[in-house]
Amino acid sequence: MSTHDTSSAAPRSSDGASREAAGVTAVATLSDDAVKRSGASPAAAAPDDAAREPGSPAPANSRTRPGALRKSWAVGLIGLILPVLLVLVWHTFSTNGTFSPVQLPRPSAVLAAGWELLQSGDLWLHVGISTQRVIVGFLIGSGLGLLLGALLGLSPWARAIGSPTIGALRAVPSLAWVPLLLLWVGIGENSKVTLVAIGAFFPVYTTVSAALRHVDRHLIEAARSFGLRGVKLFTTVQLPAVLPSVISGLRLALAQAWLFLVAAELLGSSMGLGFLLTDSQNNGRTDRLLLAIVLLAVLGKLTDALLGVFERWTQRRWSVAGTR
Amino acid sequence: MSHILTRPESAVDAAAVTFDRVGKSFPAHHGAHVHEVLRDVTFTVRPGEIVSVLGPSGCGKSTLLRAVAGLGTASEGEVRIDDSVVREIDPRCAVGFQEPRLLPWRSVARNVALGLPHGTPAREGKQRVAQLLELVGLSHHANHRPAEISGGMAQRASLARALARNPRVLLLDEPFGALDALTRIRMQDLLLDVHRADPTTVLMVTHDVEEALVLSDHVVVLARETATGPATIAEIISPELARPRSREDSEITALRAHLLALLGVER
Repeated sequence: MSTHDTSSAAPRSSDGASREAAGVTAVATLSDDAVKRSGASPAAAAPDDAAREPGSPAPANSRTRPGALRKSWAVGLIGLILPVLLVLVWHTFSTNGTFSPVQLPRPSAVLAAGWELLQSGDLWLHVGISTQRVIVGFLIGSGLGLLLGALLGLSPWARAIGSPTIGALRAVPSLAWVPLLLLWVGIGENSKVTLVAIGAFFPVYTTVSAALRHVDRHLIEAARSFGLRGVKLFTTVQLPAVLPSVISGLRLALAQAWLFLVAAELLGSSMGLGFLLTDSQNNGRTDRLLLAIVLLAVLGKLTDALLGVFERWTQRRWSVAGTR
Repeated sequence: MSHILTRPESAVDAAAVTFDRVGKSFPAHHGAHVHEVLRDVTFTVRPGEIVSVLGPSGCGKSTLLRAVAGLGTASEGEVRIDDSVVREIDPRCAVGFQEPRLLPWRSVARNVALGLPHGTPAREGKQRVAQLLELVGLSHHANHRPAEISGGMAQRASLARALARNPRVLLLDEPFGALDALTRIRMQDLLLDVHRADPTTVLMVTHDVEEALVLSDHVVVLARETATGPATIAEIISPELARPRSREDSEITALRAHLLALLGVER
C-alpha cells in the first residue's frame, strides 16, 4: 500500500485486484469480501491498464463473473441452495435416529418453539433488546473509532502519544472487561452496551488509522499545492481515499458487535438472545437454543445487508470507474 | 482545435521569480553530517519567460521548483516571486507534477476544477473548466474518471488543472518525462500554444536536453564539480530563436551537442 512510485503514470498500489473485488462485492455477496478489501483505498485502486483506449467499457464485472450470475435475483436464489440443503440434512439426521431429539431437535420443532415464543411475546422482547444493544453499542463504538482513528491516522503527534496505549488495550481479551464493567457500570443496560461498543471500536479504529496513514502522499501534496488544507483537504482527498476501508472497518465492527453482545448477555442478563441461549441450555430446551442461533445468523446478515446498501451508495458516489 | 484562451478578468500578470544564493542540504543517513545537494544558485526568471532547469538526476532540480511553490524550503538563501519571499504554499504558483496526480474518484472536469482559485463563482468556474478542457483537447472526456483515460490525456488534464489557477508562475516538474516520444512532442507544442495565448512565467525542470532547447528562453544548467559535491549553475544558455523551433535547426543541434558535453555525455 505504501508504494510511491514516482515514475508511474497514475497513482496505483500493489493492490491492483482491489477494484475487481469492489465490483464483485457490489452485487454479489454482501459480507464475505469485507475483510479482503480492508485497507484498499480508491486512491490506490487505479487499475494497471490506465492507458486503456478511451471510451472502452470499464472491465467491471464482465470478466470476473459467469453469464448466469449477471442477474442479482439469480445470485440471490443460488445463495439459498446451501441453506435449504443444510435444513434437509438437519432434518434427516434428526429423524433417522443419528441424534436424539435433545441433541438435535427437528427443524419443525425449532419452528414450533419460535411460534410459541412469538405468541407469548418473548420473541420480540429478546430480538428487540438484543438488536437495540447492538445498534446503540455499534454507533457509539464505531463513532469513537472513526474519531480516534482519524486523529491518530492524521496526526503523527497524536499517534506517538496514543497508539501504544490503544494497541495495548486492544490486546485485552473482550471477556476480561466483563467483571470490571459489572463493577463500574452495573449489571443493567449500560454495561452491555459498553461491551458492544468496545467490540465495535477496534476494527473501525484500526482500519481507519491505518488507511489514513497510507493515503497516496503525492495526491495530498498536489491538493495542498492548489491551496487545500485542513478540513477541506480532508474531505477532498483523504476521506474519499479511505472510504472503502472505513466501510470494511464498519462491517467488521458490526460483526464484532454481535459477538460481544452474546458475550455480554451470556454473562448476566434477563433478556436478549444471549440470555435465551443460556436459559435454554439450563432448561434443556435445545429447540430454543437452535432458534437463538438461527436468529443471530439472520439478524447479523440483515444488519450487514443494511451496511451493504450504504456501501453501494458510496461506491456510486466515489467510484473510480465512472458512472456514465 | 482552437487555442483561444480568454483570461478571466480576475487574472493578473506574469510574475518574476528570483533565486538568491539558494542552497539545499539534507541530513545524512548517519552521523551529524549534512549532505549538501545544491549551493549558491542565483538567477532570475523575468515575467512571461519560459526557463528550463537542466541537470543530472539527484542534483536538486526539483528542490528549486518546490521552493518556488512553497512545498519545500531552501536551506540557504531565498526565493522571491516578484518582491515577496516565498514562505508557504504560494497562491501565485501552480504546479504540474511529473505524474498527473489526479484524484481517481473525480471526473476529469472536477479534477481540473480543483485548480480553480479559491472563491471562484460556480458558473465562472464551470466555464473556465470547459474552456481549459477544450484547450487541452479533453472536452469529450470531461466526465471520464482518470482510470479511463490514457497517460497522455491524464497529463493534459493535469496541465489544465494547473492553468485553472491562473498562475502568475507555472511550475512544471518533468511534466512530459513519463510520456512516449510522440505524445511528448504534442505536449510541448500544446505548452507553447498555451503560453502564446496566455504568456505567464513558466519554470520547468527537465532532463531532456532537446525539450529544454526547443521550449525555453533560457536553459539553466546545473552540474556538480566533483562526483559527491553540491551542484550549482554551470552555465545559462539562451537560444535566441523564434518559436516554434525546429528540432533540426542547426543552432539547436549545436547547442544540444554543447549541453550534452556539459552534462558529461561524450558525443
